[in-house]
Amino acid sequence: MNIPLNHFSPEIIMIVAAFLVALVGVAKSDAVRRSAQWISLISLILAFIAGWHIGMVDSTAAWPLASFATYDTLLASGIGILLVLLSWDMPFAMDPAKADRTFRGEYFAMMLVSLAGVSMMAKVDNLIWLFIALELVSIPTYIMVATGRSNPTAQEAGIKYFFLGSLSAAIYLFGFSYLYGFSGSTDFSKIASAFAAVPQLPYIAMIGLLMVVIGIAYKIAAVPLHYYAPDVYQGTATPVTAFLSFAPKAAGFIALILVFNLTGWKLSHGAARAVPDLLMVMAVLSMTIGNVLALLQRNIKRMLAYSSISHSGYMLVGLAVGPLMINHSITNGISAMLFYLGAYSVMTVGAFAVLVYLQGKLDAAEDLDDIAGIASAHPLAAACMAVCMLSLIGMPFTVGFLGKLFIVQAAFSSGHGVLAVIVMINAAIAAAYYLSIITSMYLRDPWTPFTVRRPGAIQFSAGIAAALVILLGVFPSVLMSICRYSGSEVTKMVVVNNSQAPAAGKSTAAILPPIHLVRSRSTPRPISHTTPLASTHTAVAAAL
Amino acid sequence: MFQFLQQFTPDQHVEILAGLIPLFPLAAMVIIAIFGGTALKGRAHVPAIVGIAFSFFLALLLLIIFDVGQFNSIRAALLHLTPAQANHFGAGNHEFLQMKFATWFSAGGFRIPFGVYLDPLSVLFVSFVTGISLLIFIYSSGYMEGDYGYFRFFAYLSMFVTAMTILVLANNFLLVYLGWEGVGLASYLLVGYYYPKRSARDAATKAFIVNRIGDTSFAVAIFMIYLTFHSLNFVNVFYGPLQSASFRAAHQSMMFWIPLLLMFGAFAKSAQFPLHVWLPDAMEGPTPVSALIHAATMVTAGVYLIARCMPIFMHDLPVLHLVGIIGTFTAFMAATIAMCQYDLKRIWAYSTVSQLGYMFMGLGVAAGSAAVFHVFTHAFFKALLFLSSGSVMHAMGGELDIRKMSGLRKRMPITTVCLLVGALCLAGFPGWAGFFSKDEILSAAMNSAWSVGPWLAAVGLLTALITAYYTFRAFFRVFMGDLILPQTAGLHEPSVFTLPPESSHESHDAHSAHVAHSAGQHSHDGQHGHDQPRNTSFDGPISMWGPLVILAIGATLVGWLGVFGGHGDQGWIQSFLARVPMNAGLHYVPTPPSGLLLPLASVHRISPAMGMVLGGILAIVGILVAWYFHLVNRHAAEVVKSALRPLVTFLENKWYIDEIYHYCIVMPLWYLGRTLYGVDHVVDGIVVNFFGYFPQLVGWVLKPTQSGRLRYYAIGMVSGLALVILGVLYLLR
Repeated sequence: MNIPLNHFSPEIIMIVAAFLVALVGVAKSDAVRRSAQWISLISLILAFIAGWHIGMVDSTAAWPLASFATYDTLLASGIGILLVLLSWDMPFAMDPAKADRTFRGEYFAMMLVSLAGVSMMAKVDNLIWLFIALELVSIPTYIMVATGRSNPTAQEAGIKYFFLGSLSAAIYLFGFSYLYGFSGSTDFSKIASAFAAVPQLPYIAMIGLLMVVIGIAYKIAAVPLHYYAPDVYQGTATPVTAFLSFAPKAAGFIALILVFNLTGWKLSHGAARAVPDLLMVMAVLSMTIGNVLALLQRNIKRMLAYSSISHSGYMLVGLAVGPLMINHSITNGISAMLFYLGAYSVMTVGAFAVLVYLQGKLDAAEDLDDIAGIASAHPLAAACMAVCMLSLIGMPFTVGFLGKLFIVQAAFSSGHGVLAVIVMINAAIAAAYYLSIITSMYLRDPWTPFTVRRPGAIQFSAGIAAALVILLGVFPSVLMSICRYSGSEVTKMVVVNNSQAPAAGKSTAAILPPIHLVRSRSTPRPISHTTPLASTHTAVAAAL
Repeated sequence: MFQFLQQFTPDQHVEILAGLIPLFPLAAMVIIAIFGGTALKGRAHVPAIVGIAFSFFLALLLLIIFDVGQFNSIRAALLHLTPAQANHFGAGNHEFLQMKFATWFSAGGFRIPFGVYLDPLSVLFVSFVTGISLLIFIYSSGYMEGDYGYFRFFAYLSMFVTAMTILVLANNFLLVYLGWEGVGLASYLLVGYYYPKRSARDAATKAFIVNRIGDTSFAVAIFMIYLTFHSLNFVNVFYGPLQSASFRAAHQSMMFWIPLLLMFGAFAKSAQFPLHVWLPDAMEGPTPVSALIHAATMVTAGVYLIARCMPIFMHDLPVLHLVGIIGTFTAFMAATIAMCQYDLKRIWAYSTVSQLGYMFMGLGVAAGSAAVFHVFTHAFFKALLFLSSGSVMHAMGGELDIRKMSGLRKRMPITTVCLLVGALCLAGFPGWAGFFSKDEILSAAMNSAWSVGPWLAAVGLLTALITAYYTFRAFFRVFMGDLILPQTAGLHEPSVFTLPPESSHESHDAHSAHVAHSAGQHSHDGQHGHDQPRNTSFDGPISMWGPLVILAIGATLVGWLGVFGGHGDQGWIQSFLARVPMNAGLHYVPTPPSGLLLPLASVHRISPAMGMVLGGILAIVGILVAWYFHLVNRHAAEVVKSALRPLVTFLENKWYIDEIYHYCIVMPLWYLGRTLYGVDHVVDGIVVNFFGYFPQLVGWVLKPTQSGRLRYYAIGMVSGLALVILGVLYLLR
């Protein structure tokens, strides 16, 4: 690895803390065991500060994807803080009398290891490392799902999640082996050179990419492999559901960006078109199926599971559009996707935090009836939930609005008008079921008496999440600039890879006319507006 | 004291004044939200009214500043100008003023500021929005007194007005969209305010969902505007490359799609066919909310949007004509529906849809200032009609069926006079507000160079006749004739929060106690208790009838602004709006701002005076018909009704549009959902079972220990992968 070791300090902090928590968690004294949460919290805050510091000090000089990695670290540790807070009393969730006291340490240790995997994801430069990082994220989540609740549904969900997750790992590992077979190396720079050297994507590489995409679709709960999500989300404990809606999804999307980066995004013509086309089909199916099926749900966790599928669809739009950027577009698809990832994580974790806070029949509020009329008894909790829901709908002044704005804008300005309009129609449909949650809270009388969780940490995490949703919606500059830097780094990689092409041995003439992206960056010619606009026009015509 | 203001130019002073307008209701909202449940409680209306009063005051200042040629001394004093400067301030080179206060977000060249855009159009809108809202707020403090969640109501109202003022003052499309969504959200909360009623919840959801359709369309239009103009700022869009013919030729398709999508957005917000379905249901909210939605805040947004974007519409006449045709059709359709409704508020709701249709007719024939004039007068008389009806509802214990009451003038003299004024305006009786503004639209349509214009005007005249009829049908039924009071008269409007429909007995007691309490407050002479409700005046407290009287005076007078007070032979409103680029030539010649195209010429088919006479005669005829059937000989109305049974049924069912929606949109979507659900289950179950049959057999032989379903999932995944890869290979072969 050519990345300086100090850039791994956030991950090192998290892993060390994970071991510490595992040790503390089996202590005899209850007071010592109770320090597990504090250790987790403090380590994540330290990791956040370390990540911020590295990003501020010397990131750009270090290696090409430095801001991208910084964003990933900040996202993992920042959302991690919220997740630790909302699972503060997790080990005693369902039955305080029977709770296994050693449980606490395990849970937070698993969480920290998984977050370390997410944080490491953007720093890997080798297929083996990529696989290890992905598994580092996944394996702890299998344990968390299975042990989160002691009832049979949770066990079944855990087993299902574990076996299918392993299968998906096998699928993308198989894909990695094709990439290795194509390039003869697992090293990213060598694979990138190999891609840059061939005029057209060979089948072997393309099949490899397809398998990677489909395998990782499991991690991000996108359409061909989305079946497990509703069952698992509903079956397991709510804090674990919150974790599942963030960690595997973030890891999966970052892994996809890294893998496509290898190809130099030469995916717009010839056989390689299959990859973005597949992504677009997956995106459209994910958001449509997710939204329409969410309309039929009355269980909020199930509804949010389908909503998570549909939001993966929106993010896949950004990925399918890629780093292509014409004049006057606000951001490219990758930056838009990264922004959306951050936005989605904050708002969905906020929603789950409120659910955890409102204790329901099992361990947290689950059904629409469980939260009926809470606005009168718990106005702040209801307000946090409402803010998160409005953000998921995409109301202005919330971060969700800007996320959708950038995604749709990236799709529009790269000529994918149909895709953009489908996103917007889906966003309009989605409003109906998010609204049913708000309606249930504000416009109904309490159905069942409900209790709330004592720990202030849970309220705190809901409050922070809701405040972030608003703050980032009104003052998005910080998040936007870091996403734009990350996205432009990906674009730079394209240029780097192409400039490496002659060095790789083949003649430059053999390379196909470079794709529009590279052209528009190397020669700042005035781009005529007719092409993308005309296609947008036909696209809208077709959509209407 | 205001030394720091010295650094700004007079223009910027004006802009800062305008920028403060949305902040007052916003502050009121925040204060009520924080202290409403604790410190304020029953006084929650105070911050709301104070906030909106400040906004209204600032809006009035803006109106004075922008009224070029008048109030020069006030302007000079306000802005520290010399008399010569004051004389010219805002004239000549100032078609508009705009200023950016802060940046919302920026990315590369893309920058969205918080800024205001001031021209006579936005100034006129913001002044009547805040003015009418102020009166409605005052009325609400009496009407909602003692209601559960009193403070919540005023917080929502303040939010509503905040969003509307942002919408009207914004200087770019994204900020307009912010206000647009905010208005939608606030209306959702307010329409669903009586949430224990199922109909209120349904109406709120319906309003939100229908508005989402329009919002989506508007959002797509915004993206297209950005792609075409590379900016969302009004100045850059309207006064930039749009003026060059070659630019328009290069973006021909955009020049069609942008106005079309803006039109759909406006139609959803302003309740035009086929997106009008939410507005009549929205009267499920408290009456002041209906008044606010129908008069000042919500529905005028669509008219504002199209009037504001007139430079774009002017370049694509087919879309502009479509606006006019749909508007005219909606005006006619809604008027016919209003003829056969029995709920007083529902009649006014359909009349709003109909009057909005007139406004879009005016925009469609490029008579922007006539349309805006009608918005302006309509705001007064529709607020008046709704608030008067609210007083009726208040007095009649929540009853609004016009078949159950009669002769109320004997009990509610003030309300009767106020509602009569509103009805005269709506009917277009000569001399009252609606008469001037409606006839201006009709004569513009009549004289339009567009050959369809006169036909629209003809339909409009027929609609005017129907309007006069249904307006006075309601008036004669409710206020004239013998005194008939419904059973509930004298009771306070049943509060849905204390009166679940199941437990009618115990709630009756609670209810009477409530009445005893409220009757003491509501009879303004204070001597008559609730034991003699039939001798009591039902007009309500002064906070209720005071605003009514002001509105009645306003509704009587504002119409004359269209005739007198302007430059030359123009009315004040025409001169005031002349600098806004939204008019084709009418009977006066507007001075086009620099370089703006005004492609629609006008012809002279009919003189304005003739149009006025025609409109006046039709209004009187309509009133006379209503007078005969609903006052002199009410039995005749029943005879005619039974003779025309199929037609009446058709109209009573509102042209079956809700049913069409149900069968064409709601049901298919529901079936799509079920189908997808089924497909998911099929893949989950049958297909996977089928693929899993073989391993199941093997597993049965090998005595499986694992959960069965899991295997099917795994096989489903692998077969899905195989299908994708084989499919891609097949497609690329």
